[in-house]
Amino acid sequence: MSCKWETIIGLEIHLQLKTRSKIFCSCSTDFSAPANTNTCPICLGWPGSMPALNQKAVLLALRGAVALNCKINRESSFDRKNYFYPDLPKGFQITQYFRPLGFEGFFQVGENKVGIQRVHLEEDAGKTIYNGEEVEIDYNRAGIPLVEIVTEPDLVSPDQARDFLRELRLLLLYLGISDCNMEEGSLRCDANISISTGGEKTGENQVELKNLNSFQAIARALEYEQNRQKALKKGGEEIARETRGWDTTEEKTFLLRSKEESVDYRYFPEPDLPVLVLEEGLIDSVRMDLPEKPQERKKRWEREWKIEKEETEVLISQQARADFFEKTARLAPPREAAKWIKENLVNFDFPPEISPEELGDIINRVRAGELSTSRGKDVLQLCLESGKNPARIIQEKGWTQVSDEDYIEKLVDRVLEENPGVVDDYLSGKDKAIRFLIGQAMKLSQGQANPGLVWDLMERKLEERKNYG
Amino acid sequence: MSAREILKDCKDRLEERDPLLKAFVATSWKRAEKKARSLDEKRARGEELPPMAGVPVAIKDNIARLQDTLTCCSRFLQGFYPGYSATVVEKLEKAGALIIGRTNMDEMAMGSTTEKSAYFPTRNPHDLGKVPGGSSGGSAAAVGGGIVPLALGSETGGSIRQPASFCGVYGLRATYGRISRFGLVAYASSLDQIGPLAGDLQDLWLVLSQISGRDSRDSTTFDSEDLKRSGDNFDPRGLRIAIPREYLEQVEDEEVLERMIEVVRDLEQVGVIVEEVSFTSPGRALAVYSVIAPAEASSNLARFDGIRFGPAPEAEQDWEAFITKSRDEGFGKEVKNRIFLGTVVLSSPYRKEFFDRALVAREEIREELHELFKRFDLVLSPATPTPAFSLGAGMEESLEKFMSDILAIPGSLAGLPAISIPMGLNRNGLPLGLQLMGPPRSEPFLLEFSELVKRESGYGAEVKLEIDREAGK
Repeated sequence: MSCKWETIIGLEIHLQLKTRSKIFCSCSTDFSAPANTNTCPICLGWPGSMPALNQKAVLLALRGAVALNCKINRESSFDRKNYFYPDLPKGFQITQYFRPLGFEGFFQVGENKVGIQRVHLEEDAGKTIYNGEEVEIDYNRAGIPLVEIVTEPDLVSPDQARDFLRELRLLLLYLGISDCNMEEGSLRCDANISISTGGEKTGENQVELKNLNSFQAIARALEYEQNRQKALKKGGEEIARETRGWDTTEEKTFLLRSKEESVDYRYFPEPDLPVLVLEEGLIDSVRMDLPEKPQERKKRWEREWKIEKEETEVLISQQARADFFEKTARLAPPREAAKWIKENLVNFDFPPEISPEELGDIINRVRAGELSTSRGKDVLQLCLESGKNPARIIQEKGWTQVSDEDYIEKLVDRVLEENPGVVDDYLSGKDKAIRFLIGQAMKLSQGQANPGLVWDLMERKLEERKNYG
Repeated sequence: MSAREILKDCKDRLEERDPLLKAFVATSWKRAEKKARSLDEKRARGEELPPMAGVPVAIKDNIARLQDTLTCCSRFLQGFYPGYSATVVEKLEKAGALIIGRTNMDEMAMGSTTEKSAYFPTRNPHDLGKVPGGSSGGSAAAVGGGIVPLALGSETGGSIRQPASFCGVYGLRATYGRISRFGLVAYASSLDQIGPLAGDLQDLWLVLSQISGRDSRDSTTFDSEDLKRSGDNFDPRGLRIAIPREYLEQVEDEEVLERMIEVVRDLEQVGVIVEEVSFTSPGRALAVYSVIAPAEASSNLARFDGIRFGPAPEAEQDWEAFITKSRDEGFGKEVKNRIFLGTVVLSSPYRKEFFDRALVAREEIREELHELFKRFDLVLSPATPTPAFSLGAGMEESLEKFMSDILAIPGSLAGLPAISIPMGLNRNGLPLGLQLMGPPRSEPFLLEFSELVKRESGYGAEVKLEIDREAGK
């Protein structure tokens, strides 16, 4: 008997929001501060302290929720998620459980429309550092604002899940709401995966994979888990509901805890924070203020400017680079601009030591025949090194290309006169001899003659001699 | 009188009486003296003095103050310095008050007798064999025993009004959100309020006006610009007062009922209209309270894990064992019981039956009170079903203790302001109290009506200036 396996994946993404201060107190969110220096009675959970909501965090989270096409709760609220852990100062986390900021959204990746179940605000916990026998706790992270994004189980393969997260990360970066740095933990991802044989939407016994901290880890861990579950099912075994971790060295998932022993979080409304009411018009103004989504921008370039997909992928992947391209493309032919940036600037940090205006200038000079392509690249290189503008470099180097026809004719005549032997070679049928002659002409002009014009004229004069001998 | 002289008097009274009353768990004379000196110097220079200049004030041990320990009368917080001041403390200090010390309370504000303090029980100034009530028993005894004219207490479900009534003083629970809770160690955050206890209504006005108002550090607070007296134009004629029948049914002490009726007659004499009404049984409100308060407490007290403060058991390697042992060592039985109860009512097999239903019932009670205040200006009742009971009363009286807050609870659930005012002594010399409850933000009216009651009934605070040393033995 053969049966078709379906993989069902949903993601839970935690994002540290880019605010200067924490979500419920005025402590700095500076990542690099020495341990336990960005703390106060509030984020340490001192008795008597109370939370006061950071409105900037609300705005950033709202931006995310709106960009993910969520319905927005004009009145959302905060709740307590109760559990004990040494790095959880209050013994509960303030989150939005009953009424999240955003819900029922979606995010389109290519042909795939992935549902967004909810987008909500919460606070981060401290960090437990295991140092041999010692356990150290750094509370700097406690109270950093987080946004949690939960997708519907709409993803069907590990690769799709990874690609989805890549695209989502790109969008979030464009929104400017988070650094989205997976290594530093400002973007963290958990995944739910189950295998089913029938058409049901979620497998009943889903496995949660925790802390997948790179795109590679996500794809690999899901791949491993998919195979593990298939093998179990083929062997007629039940898949246990459980939470598993990913061992990056062994490349294996391992059991963290069974869902049977799952924690009862005893959620209830946070009494210290009033209902979060969004002002009339705020949602609209956030929507108006959204930048063009990178996915749409890419499509526009392909559609309107006929840029190759291979190039748009590269250009879009960094917002500063994409912005740079966008500006250059408005000053020089977009396809040329894309090519120049992809070939010459991808290894540079953006913005580079050259402005879109300057790059456009170089491209246009090459197109006008004032510079050869390779000379153009030299100019670009010198711009990047010196920070000087192209016009000045060309002037200093004396690289102005000469297209004056009288000058070029004199040049060609002189070369023909000085090299009668080579001319004879050409006339007797050795076509390649023309290259030497052109080389001589360029040399005489110190590289400044327009090589295209030199070639044309040289060829014409030689052909004339051939015919009229 | 200079501030230093006032303070000296206060200190003398405390040294004379507190060994009997046991109202204080800590004093801060040095800082109070420094403050008194600076006030006196200000006065000598002819500068304007702040409104509470030189008034000695005691604060309950669950209110944070810079340089003070903050113990909530719990073993858990022995030696804990919060390193910050509650908003009310900052405001008192700015108003020129002399904070002289911290008062005893039931551990973590859980209790109605102050016997659950980790230190010692406090005694009732009117009878040292009786409890002062609780959990703000130390504050009530300090005022009723004449040590300070004013003290701050805190309420969750009657912890100001009940001890005020037991000790013969005024005790005010303000509208939820009028007084900042920042710096008040939370018991049940949706119910907690700081409030004053005083021997004099003018002092109550004064302190209320100083400590109220919106606070950016407590998002549940509101502006308090409405705190204005109407002046001498207070006209009682035609005011409508409701007395819920179901409240009276809770009162078995004949003297309490008779005294209340006597006061009501006095009020009727000046044109107040008093009507008996039917209202949700306070027993139902108590049931709702007994679910919500412990539920919130179980969460609020989760931060006491021994990691940043509190007992740190050396031997434990596993963090779960560490936290468990720390809490086991640090908390008393009553606190553990309430945490346990609160955890259960929030846990999945029970929460629907208990917590979720309690939230619905709370809304119903709030709504019912709201409707009642469309027809009446005030709700009047005895403050407590009985006067103070005996210290260490044990099992037979435990229900009595449990029920002593019962008349305070419906208002607490609805976040309404209410005041407990003295109505004389019973035949054994124990104070009796009357409760007035008003609609949201009606404190000015409550206070003016309290003045009317005082004027018409002739009952005022019963502050004991002589304490019979033999009585407690």
